[in-house]
Amino acid sequence: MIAEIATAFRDGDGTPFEDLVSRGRSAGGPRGAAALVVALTKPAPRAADHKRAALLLRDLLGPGDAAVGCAWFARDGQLPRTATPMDRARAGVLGPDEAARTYDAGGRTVRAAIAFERAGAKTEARQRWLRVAERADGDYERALAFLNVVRNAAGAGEARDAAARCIHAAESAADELLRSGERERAFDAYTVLLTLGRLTGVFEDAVEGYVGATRILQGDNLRRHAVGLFREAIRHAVDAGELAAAAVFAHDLAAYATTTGHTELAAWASEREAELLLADAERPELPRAIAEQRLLAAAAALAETDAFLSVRRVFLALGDKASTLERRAHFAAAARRYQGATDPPRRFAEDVAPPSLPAVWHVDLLEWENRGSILDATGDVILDPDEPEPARRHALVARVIGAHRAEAPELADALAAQQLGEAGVYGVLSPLEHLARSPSPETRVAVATALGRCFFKRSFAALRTLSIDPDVAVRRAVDGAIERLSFPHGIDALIRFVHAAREASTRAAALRALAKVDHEAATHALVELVTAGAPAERAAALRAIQRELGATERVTHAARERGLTISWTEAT
Amino acid sequence: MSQAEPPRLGAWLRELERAGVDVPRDVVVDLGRLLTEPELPRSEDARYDALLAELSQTVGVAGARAERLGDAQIASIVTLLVHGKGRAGAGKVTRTALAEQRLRILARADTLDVETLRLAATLGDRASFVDTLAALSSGALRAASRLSLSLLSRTGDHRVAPTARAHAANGYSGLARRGSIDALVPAELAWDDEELERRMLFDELSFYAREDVPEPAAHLTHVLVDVSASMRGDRATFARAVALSIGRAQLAKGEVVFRLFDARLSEPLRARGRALPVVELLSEKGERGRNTVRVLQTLADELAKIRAESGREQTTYLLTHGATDLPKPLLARIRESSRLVAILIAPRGAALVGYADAVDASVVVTSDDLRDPEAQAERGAAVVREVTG
Repeated sequence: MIAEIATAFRDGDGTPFEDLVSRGRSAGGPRGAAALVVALTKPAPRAADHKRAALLLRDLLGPGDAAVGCAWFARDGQLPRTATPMDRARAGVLGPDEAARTYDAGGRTVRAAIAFERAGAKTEARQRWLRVAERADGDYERALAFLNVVRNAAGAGEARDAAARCIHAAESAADELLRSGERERAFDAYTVLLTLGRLTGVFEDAVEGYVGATRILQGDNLRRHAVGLFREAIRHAVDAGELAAAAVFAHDLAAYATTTGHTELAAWASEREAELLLADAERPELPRAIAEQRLLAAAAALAETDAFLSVRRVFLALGDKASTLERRAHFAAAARRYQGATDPPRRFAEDVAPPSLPAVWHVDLLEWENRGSILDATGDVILDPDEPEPARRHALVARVIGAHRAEAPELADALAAQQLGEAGVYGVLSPLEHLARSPSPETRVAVATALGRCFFKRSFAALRTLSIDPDVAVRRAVDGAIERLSFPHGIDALIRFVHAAREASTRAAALRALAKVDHEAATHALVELVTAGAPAERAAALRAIQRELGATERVTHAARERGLTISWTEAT
Repeated sequence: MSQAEPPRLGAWLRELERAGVDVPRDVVVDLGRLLTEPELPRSEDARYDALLAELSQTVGVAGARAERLGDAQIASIVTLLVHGKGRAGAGKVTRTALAEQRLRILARADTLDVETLRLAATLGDRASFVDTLAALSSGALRAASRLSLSLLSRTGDHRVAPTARAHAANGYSGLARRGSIDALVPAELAWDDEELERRMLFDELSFYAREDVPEPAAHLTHVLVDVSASMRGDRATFARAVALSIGRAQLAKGEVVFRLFDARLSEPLRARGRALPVVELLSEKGERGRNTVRVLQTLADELAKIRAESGREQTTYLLTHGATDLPKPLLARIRESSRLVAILIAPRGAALVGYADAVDASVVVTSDDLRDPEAQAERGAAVVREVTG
């Protein structure tokens, strides 16, 4: 079957969908099946056409994982008679309780726990999560498992111990992941903390999570997400009665907005900071020294927004409340300076929604349990109604190939990697990372190329490992992949490649990717390189910029703003 | 008539250049002069000169001038006046541009934290540009420093100094910088309350030293302060203030070392003689993640090493919020080398995990204690008395 599929891919290149389906129907057997496999990778006039092809393929395939995958894709409920209870459970044809026990019997503890949750069986769910926590081999997975224990706890006492263990593991995981450059996963670790804090009502945990998560979003140039999360953090702190902490978040948002050039948002955030500080200063239980500090800080925040009438009002209040006669006199005198001042119109800032955080406490534990299995990972993608249809199709093709792997493992792995890359969704990263360890250079080339279609920061981690592969074809495939991964939240990773990649070709690829990203952070990095880098670095950066439409203008403009000039002739 | 450039101008410009802060030379001359000399600087811009005259009378500038600040501190204040707190000023900085931003510049001066300036001044040039800028930019510091002064006065921390200094006179062995309240030189009581508190904190009072007390064995106190983001709000203020007070009280026993922690344990901040590292302690923002397990492991290793190498008696004060359960095995390891006292600032709405049996002493400060107006300082003082003995 694998050989037929490889041949069909070669022969079917350029053949339209309907012709391949006809070929599949008429040829039958492995050749026919192979034609249908290739057909599924082609665009079709209607979605129903792909379903039809999948069902034809199911009928041609023998019993097994491939046929089950076709049935899942088609969603017609017609699973093969040979489908296992686990297949039925995954297809959702069993009730949650029966599905849970099926997974349990099959040793799939994570799936069982999720199914028990869906069945409302919290005690059973909690027991399974505890088992997962015991078996977890990393802090991140342990944190997720204990979070699930808390989510299913019967009472506060039960939750407390699990919460403590979750926090230790999540803190440690976030710390280690940041050190190793896995920022996406570190972000997920921080969302564990803030989710736990919101669940248990412990503000300290939530705030640690919010600060860590917003910091990563800022560093990754995900401005809209960062602003949305800042605003949510402020709301959460206010709801918790933590006005001083809310004011710090507002202050941080103002500073961030200033550095990104969003002056209106910065002014709005400073106004908000001042409001929160003034409200906090009014608390009757606050010691005078701290109340005075709040008022001063509010005045400073208001001054930055030119709200000098409000500044005057604050100084008048300090003239009444400051701790010594001398200070009261000083502030009364200060207030007179602002007589006649006015406030600008009140700022409004668009209410940006916070990023929707995936339920990593299920998704990532499922991935952990799958252990990089193509069959499991592709099954999850196929069965997920929220995944885009092309991704589900390519996942199906990868699954069919994976199901026949035993016939020709190296060829199957390379073909499957190619299809996983075409799927390009987050769920295929784990099997690709697993395939990256293949002893076959052809497979590793296919994996590197596939990673270049997966626009996630996590892709860079595997590419980093492959960039020092002993095989030159693999390293060249890595270069090609890096050049494709040009997106704003990958800027930091690209810069690391520019500075630290072992080969000049890889560094050049990262430079070309940077030059494609129309974002301030990328432009500034390029300005640094062309004005302050070593001669070889400067020349490579100049060449990369000149290749990319629009990049020369962006870089020249940014350099001019900083009073720098660029010698473009150094590129030659 | 043109004025000569201030003699310290070169040092100010070097500080600004090192920090990458852009302020034109003429503005540095003017503001630096304003902060160090009684005579007003003059230019050819009447509006700008009027601004300088007003600035000269603000709380911040007048207070700074009175303190005789170091070059790094002058440079940090110039930065704050021109660029604000951590936010770059818009457009090019010129005398004209500053005059056009008159109210904004004045407000920056009016909200300068004079109390923190006084704290920084006691360290002279030892307070760096970065530390001073961070200290002045953070509104929380002032609250922490005020609270620490208040706590100190309530803890009544006056211990007999180990040895007497200076000259013998009339039955006394001399004058000292520390002593009991009954040994206070009467003239010191002429200071107003605020000044008296400040002088107590920085060992500027004079006491009659009555006797020679044998030097005690060198004791090492570690004061660990949680500076992670989870301490945001009044927790951070209270923890730093209590830490300063505990450090102050423990100086009588021997050496005191402060360690801040978030995801890592910081380098030690040591008391220099009797001077606590106030500005460094209060200016370090922290908030670089949190990793309690790693921090406690590192601490346990270091304490064990000190004990093995020097045999010194050690006490460790751990100030953090009480929402996290501290791992008991690690606490036990720490106790093998050091007495361990936990001061836990309670979270809102969560019950504390009881690990009182895992430490030598513990004090829990609840949200209600933080909210009570009179009791906050009293409570803090009680904490200090309770844990330092």
